[in-house]
Amino acid sequence: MAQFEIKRLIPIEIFGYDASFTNASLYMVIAVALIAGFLIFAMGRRSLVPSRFQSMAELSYEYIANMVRENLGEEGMKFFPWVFTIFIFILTLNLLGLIPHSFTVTSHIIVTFAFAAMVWITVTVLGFVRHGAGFLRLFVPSGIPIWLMPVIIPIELISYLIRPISHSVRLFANMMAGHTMLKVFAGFVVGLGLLGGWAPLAFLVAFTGLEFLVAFLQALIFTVLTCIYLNDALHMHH
Amino acid sequence: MVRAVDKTRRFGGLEVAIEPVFVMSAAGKGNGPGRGEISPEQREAFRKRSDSIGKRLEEVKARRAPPEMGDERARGEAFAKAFRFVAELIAGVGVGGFIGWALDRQLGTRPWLLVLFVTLGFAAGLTNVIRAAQKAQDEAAASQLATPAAADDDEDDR
Repeated sequence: MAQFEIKRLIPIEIFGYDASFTNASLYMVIAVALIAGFLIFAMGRRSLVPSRFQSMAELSYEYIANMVRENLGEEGMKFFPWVFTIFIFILTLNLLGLIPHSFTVTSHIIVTFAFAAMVWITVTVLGFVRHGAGFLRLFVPSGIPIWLMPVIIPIELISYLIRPISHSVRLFANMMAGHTMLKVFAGFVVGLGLLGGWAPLAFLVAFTGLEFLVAFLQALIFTVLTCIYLNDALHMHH
Repeated sequence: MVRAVDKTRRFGGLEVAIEPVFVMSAAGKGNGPGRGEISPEQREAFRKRSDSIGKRLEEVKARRAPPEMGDERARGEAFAKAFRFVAELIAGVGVGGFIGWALDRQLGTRPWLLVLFVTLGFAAGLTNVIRAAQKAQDEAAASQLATPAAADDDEDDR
């Protein structure tokens, strides 16, 4: 579908690799500019009684800060900037995609997989740095009889390996399925014409509302899971 | 009516507002002739009653407010949780299948490792789902225990 197509805006080639500036890159730059602009503008005044924008910024800060504290404890606040960046970046990309004629970066698995892989690699490296080889105990649950080990260890290993996949597929599938649904029903509106087109149109309106909820929720889930995985690396209780 | 207004004027402070109510209810019961004076017992009884009404009102408020406010969000979060479980199962089978397929191709043991790893992958996905569900359940139980305090915090935040 046209809305998922990637177009090269400025062709760039580095050492034989295609590193063009595409419409996906453009929307990521827009998202970063929007986030930075929003936060700087919103917190510029810093009044005691917050304005609307300021309270939006404060709300999102507090929401994520509470999530990090709940999952990782006070020492986990070291990771707050990273977690908050992930949340606000994905949320902005999701919401940008809901503007008609725009491009949804998060509807591409390669982008969401890159996010998830970044989280997974960070968590793995952090785990080994914090616990050394002891991090491998994550794959050996306590209180399991020896004869079950040959079965349990591969299962635990795979369940660790599927994390980046389930983490990325969830976000990508939700965004892509939502946009595809909207497109299909928009097609029905045109196809059924003035007589029958009203029913799918009404559905479209409701579904667009749902898409806003999904855009927010998926950003939130991605962030919550990031916290949960980080907690595994930091505290390791299974 | 005039008498009631006069009387309320004689009492200062907080009591101004509540006194007429008392006179009316006392007259209704028939034990207060409404002569203008209130005995200390009556006043004490009234204070007790108003206190208990206040307390009951707080209780009802505390019971009602949190679910109504959190309803929309709770539904959204449940929805999200369901999505998470589904993704976990699919990813388990997918990754298991991929590992098995790749190993088969390397070792030439088609299709046995594929079968083995799809099974393992399914088990791994299931393990993740069960673990996540367990965690969600524990959290739900914990939040239910701490409801009054949590409700108070919520109201302050908004």
